[in-house]
Amino acid sequence: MAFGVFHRNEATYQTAEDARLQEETRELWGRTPKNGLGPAVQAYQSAGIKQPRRLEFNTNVKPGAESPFEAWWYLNLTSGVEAREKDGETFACIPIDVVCNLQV
Amino acid sequence: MIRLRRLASDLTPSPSAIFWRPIEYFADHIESGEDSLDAFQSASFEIGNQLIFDLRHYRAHPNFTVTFYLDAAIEDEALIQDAIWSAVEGFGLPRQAIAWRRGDDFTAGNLTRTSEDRLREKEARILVLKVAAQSKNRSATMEEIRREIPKLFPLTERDRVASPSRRNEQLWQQIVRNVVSHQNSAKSLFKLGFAVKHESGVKITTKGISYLKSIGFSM
Repeated sequence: MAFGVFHRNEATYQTAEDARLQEETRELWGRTPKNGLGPAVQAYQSAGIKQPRRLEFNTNVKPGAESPFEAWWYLNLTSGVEAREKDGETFACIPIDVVCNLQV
Repeated sequence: MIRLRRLASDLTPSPSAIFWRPIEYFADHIESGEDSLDAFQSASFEIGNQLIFDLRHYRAHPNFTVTFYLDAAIEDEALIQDAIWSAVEGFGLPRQAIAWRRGDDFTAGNLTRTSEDRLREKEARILVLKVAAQSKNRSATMEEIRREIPKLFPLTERDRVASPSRRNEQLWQQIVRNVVSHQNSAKSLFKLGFAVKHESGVKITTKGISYLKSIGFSM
């Protein structure tokens, strides 16, 4: 896959169970950010601090926006981002290849 | 004029610039939040009634940096650059404080801070005002000023070299001393009416508070 390696540190919305599912489904989902207007997938670039427990991945979907610290993929704004629905909530989704899952 | 927004902005954030300053440099009122990426600290601002942006520091961002976010719907590159410069000028930031702007190339790995980004008198004047504004009775001693400034400004090796005129002081400390002691120069905090000097330090005036508010720093 062309873009990455990105990472997500273990956090409220990146639990060990999330990492297991992401590795199994090869999908990364993102919800609407606080006060945001639509769902987005987010991840850190390599210049972002890596915590010991994290998921690293790459993707073939070009980020919609990126800085040296992070990358964002926006539903309805970024080509290649798909919608997923769960429990009445809409999520943004990108396909990923997990490079390493350190949240086991 | 930059105004701190007390309500969080309704924008879908798109990282557009990074500054070599901590979020505390820009705002006394900082919110905590969390999204799909991580926990973060943030402050929302507006310039005029049209430009709204957030400053955020996510937990995995390097210390002493803050990222400037515009709404993702803004795609015009010229508008984005104008917004960045409006914020830089509005905050009174030196250009050397810009670590990255949208459109700049970057490679994987750490950003490198220019050695030109060191403390100078113009920025030191603002920092002295900010420290005084947040101190008891809006008054700060030299000891408090020296203690607090490194929390707002990431000192470099160049800042820490020994002062050429006072060997027991670092260069940044001499610059701060100059700011507090020079009362008669046209740009002096005291000449401008932003502060008054007292025996042990500096007290910010109402005019000084208004000036800080005009650069987005509201208490």
